[in-house]
Amino acid sequence: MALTQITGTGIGSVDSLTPTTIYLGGSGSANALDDYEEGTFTPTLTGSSSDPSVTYTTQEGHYTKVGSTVFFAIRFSTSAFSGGSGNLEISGLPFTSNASLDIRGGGVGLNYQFATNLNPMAWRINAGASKISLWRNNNNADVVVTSNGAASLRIEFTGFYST
Amino acid sequence: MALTKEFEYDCEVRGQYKAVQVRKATIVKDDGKETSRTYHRHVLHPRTKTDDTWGDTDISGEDASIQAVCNAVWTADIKSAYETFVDSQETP
Repeated sequence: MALTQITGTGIGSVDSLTPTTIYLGGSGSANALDDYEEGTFTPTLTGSSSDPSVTYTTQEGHYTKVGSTVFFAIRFSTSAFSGGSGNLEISGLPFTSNASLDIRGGGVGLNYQFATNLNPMAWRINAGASKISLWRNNNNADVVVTSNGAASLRIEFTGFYST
Repeated sequence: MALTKEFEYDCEVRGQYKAVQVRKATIVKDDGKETSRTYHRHVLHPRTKTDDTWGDTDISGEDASIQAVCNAVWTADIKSAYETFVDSQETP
């Protein structure tokens, strides 16, 4: 890839966090890199109607935001899971999803020890939301519900969405 | 050498439904000079649904500066519009 142009409208530093835009490959808004950030968030298993009681042995969320795209990685393992009602969701995303772009979803890389076999499992974020719903990729549009939960769940996946 | 840890909060208000994106910075300083800064984020929406009933989002645990922003931007019209928007989305 040829890098044809890099310009900046200000240089950020630790002492002075000046908003900075860098243009790569052109000078239009489509070439502007106006945000980059890395950090963590706390993903939490919740229910669309009421939340389950969950004891976590691992509960990690990491993100990298590049422009308007948020890349994330989520990892759960639990030692207890009870109660809750409605769809099983993962709340606590670091940024709200784009409210006008209703296309965001992907596969759940690893999941096991649910009450029943739910594979293959997929994730989806509604427009303007900061939580994930879990679906079964079984041609029936079935969602994962809190009653599918079990004590020793393990869920790990990565994905990205537009904010 | 004196190491200290400080927290800073800031936020962005996003979209027509005024989602408040909260960023907590953890700042480590050595003799007053910053040596590291890490971020942890979460998002607050104007209303929360529990047991299929909408209610105000609990922001009592948020920093006072964040509570002030939420209270300023989450008008009754925004709350109502957000409920309608969420309820209109696909749910199986």
